[in-house]
Amino acid sequence: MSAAPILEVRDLRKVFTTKRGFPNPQTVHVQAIDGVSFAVRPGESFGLVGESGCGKSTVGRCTLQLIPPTSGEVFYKGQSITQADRRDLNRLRQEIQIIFQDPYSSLNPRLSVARMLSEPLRVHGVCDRAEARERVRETLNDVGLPADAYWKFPHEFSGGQRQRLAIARALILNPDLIVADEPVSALDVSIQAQIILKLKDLKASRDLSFVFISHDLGIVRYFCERIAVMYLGRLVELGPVPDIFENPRHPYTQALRDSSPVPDPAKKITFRKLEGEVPSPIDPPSGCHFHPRCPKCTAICREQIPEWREIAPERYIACHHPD
Amino acid sequence: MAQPIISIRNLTTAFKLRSGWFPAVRDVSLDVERNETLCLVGESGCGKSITAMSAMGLMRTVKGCRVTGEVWFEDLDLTKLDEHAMRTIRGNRLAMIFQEPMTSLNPVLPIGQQVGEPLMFHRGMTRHEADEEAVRLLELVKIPDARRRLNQYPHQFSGGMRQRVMIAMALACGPDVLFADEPTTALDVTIQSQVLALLDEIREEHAFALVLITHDMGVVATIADRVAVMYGGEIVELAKTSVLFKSPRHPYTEALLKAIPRSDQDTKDLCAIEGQVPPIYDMPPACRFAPRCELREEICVEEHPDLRTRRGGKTHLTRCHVRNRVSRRSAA
Amino acid sequence: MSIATQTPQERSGVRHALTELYHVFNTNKTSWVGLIIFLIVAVLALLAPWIAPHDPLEQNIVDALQPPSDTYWLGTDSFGRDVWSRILWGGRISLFVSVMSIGIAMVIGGALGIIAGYKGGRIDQIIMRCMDVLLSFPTLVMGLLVVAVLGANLTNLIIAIALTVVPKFARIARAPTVAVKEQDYIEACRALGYSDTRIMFVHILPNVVGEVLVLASLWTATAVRIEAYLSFIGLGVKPPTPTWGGMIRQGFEYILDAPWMCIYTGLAVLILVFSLNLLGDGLRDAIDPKLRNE
Repeated sequence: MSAAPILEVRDLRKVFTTKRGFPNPQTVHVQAIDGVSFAVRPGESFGLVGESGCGKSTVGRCTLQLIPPTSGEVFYKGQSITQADRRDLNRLRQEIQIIFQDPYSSLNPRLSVARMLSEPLRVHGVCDRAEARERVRETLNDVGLPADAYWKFPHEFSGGQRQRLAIARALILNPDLIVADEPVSALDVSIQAQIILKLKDLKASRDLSFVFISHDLGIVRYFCERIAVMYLGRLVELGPVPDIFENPRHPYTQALRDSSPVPDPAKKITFRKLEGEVPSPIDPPSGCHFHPRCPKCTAICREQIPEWREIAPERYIACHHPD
Repeated sequence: MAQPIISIRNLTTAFKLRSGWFPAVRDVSLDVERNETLCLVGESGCGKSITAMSAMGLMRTVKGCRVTGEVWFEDLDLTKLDEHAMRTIRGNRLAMIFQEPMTSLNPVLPIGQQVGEPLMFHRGMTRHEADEEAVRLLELVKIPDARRRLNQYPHQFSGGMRQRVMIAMALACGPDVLFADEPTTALDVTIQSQVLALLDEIREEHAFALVLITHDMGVVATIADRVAVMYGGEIVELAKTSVLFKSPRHPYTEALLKAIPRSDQDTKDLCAIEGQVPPIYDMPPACRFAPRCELREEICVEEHPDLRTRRGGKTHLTRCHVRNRVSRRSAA
Repeated sequence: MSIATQTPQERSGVRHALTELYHVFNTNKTSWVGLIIFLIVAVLALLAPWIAPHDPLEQNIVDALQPPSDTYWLGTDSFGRDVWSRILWGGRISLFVSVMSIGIAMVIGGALGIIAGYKGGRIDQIIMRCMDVLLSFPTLVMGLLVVAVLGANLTNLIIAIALTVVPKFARIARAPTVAVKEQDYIEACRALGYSDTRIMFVHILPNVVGEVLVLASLWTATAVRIEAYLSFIGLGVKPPTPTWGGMIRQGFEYILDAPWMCIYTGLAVLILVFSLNLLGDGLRDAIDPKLRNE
């Protein structure tokens, strides 16, 4: 690896515990993340893709310590976030920010744009009032909102504009790393493109790194340099974007690529038969989590968890029978 | 051209807001043939769902809503039927499935009963016959171990399975037209491709007309025979799928296709459509797309364009002054 | 939108709050009506020493149970005291007791509810179980307890009423808190490094305050009644000091012979309650920024 990573996640695990059943509730453990490791390089967009319930959002929240991980460590610029004390964590929070999927629930309806955006500056004592106002206006301009947005309330904006506001809030403290959790999934296609272009533009102008969580392969291919594919709490494959898309080596990655519809009738998706449903993380399959749906499943897949290994430079995979 | 099974003529659905009536769907005319898949595609608020709901007669009981136009099904104008007569057709000859498989099934009734109910209601089957038929339907939509699952409840089914149950329910009475409103939007891609494949297969087998409503151009490309692109409550382009994707004529369709990053190839330049879909109470009077259109001319903000073909063409309709004129000139 | 030109952000604390409040009222006319009626009642009560035509304590047995007349505008009670003057004087005490007790209950109950809802888990359990315990005491028993421990006087009366009402506020504040804390914007606050206290009382509070205020306006009315109970059994303000509750109680005995004692005092309570309800409903609508522009 050339440069020191800006973010490193090492063997992250998260178990949620809930009670289920009536009248004798039983404690159920849900292994949401099961040993995830990856590193994000400075200035890079790192895509994290997978289907719903695979734990990709939980990874995002764990990296920001919004949810404490059960075990494993997260390093930001070489410093552990998981073990940071309150003061360090506060400083780190100025440098790592998050953008959520739903632009409606992610903005407090009772705060004006001015307050929403200037409050972080005040709380962290970054700058005085006049300077804060200047900075808010600058940021609004950066995300492509008109100056008169300053005094408005969130409900006066459309979905796309609200997402711009959420981006402005994430940018206001001038972070180096942004965790974007499905930032365009809730938006219409034409608005999606606006937001993606804006993020790409901001990434270049502000020298940002991204952890980009998405289920949409097209968007990830456009926005990210490297990509990791998750299935039921584990990473199955990781590598540079063109490589993974052109030559996926894990059967799940292949299936995911082949079932993503493409706006081109000449390339009708092959309806590649990936049988079966995504199993429940409460009771995941033994061995390789993917084995019940995998066309190449053998005895070893049912018994042994495949090792996470580098099979080619920059390419990591967890599969007993990679292509 | 074969006889259409359902023919929508000048359908307009207006809603009453504080300052008057505003059309959410305006002057939509569509013919759907038996054994064809037509996709209604557009962004949220373009009126695609309302069109289907209006055709199904589901909008007329809604307060503050007015439906005009005609919906011809065989030799009946559905808009003229009373609610009672409509009920014998809806769910029987016309069926609909919705986006949210979690909420469209009743959580306290077993699956078998929910699938069998329309059969008992429309076909007068007995409980036992309905159960047998339900097993057959569940097998048809490829639910494994169907007989055992008859007595299970919706929460024991995954999202994809529930959507299959919804399809089974819609197919129960052998409909002639199936409206599917974003049937795969809530599903994961691997499950989505299963459900789409299933819909395609069953449509082929049972020869009904499928009207699929979606916002996803990828889904359209996968399953549609013909596409109607909607914007601001109107159809702006109507064409065969292969034609539409290869040579889109309306600037909106063209821009929309350029705004989708593709997973199968590198997207060099992604083009966003600036601005946003105007709200229903603030529609541009002439061409709905004019304020966001790169080809805008004077006429676009003055005169409302018609949905029509180029000279010589028959099946590719566009609602655009500029594009239709350009082609006329080149044809002449 | 007028708020845009007012630039609320640039005003410091109190002025900001006042401009906000002005806008809240301005957008909802009924809340103005409520506020004005309430202020009239309050001003009349405050001015009692100057505007009351008679001494509220002066007994005049000869004039007992007189119907309304030129001398006694609203009649006299069984001791020949002027009802109008007693309503004015009684308003001072009743308003003070109810507003104070509900104010205290609102602040404490609201804070406890938000803390319980936001923190969840054990803290939630402890706070809400304590509230349940308080809730299980009938008002009278609570009054007896407080007075037995602390002695009977005005302050303890306020404490007793506040204690019985606190759990209501805790509950009404907790429910929206639980709903709001699941929202992404609260998570965004944590990602921005805000402290829990800031999140609870800057970001969650505005989502809760509407319902709490509505409840407060309703319970202020009830507090007038509770004060009457407690005063009646000698746990509150002692006769002959006039309070509305006490006067209604007393008027009850003569409801057939001298209905004006009850009716006019009741009318005073009604007007107060009505104004508070208008105020509460208006506030609830106006506090929601979604309704602000229309």
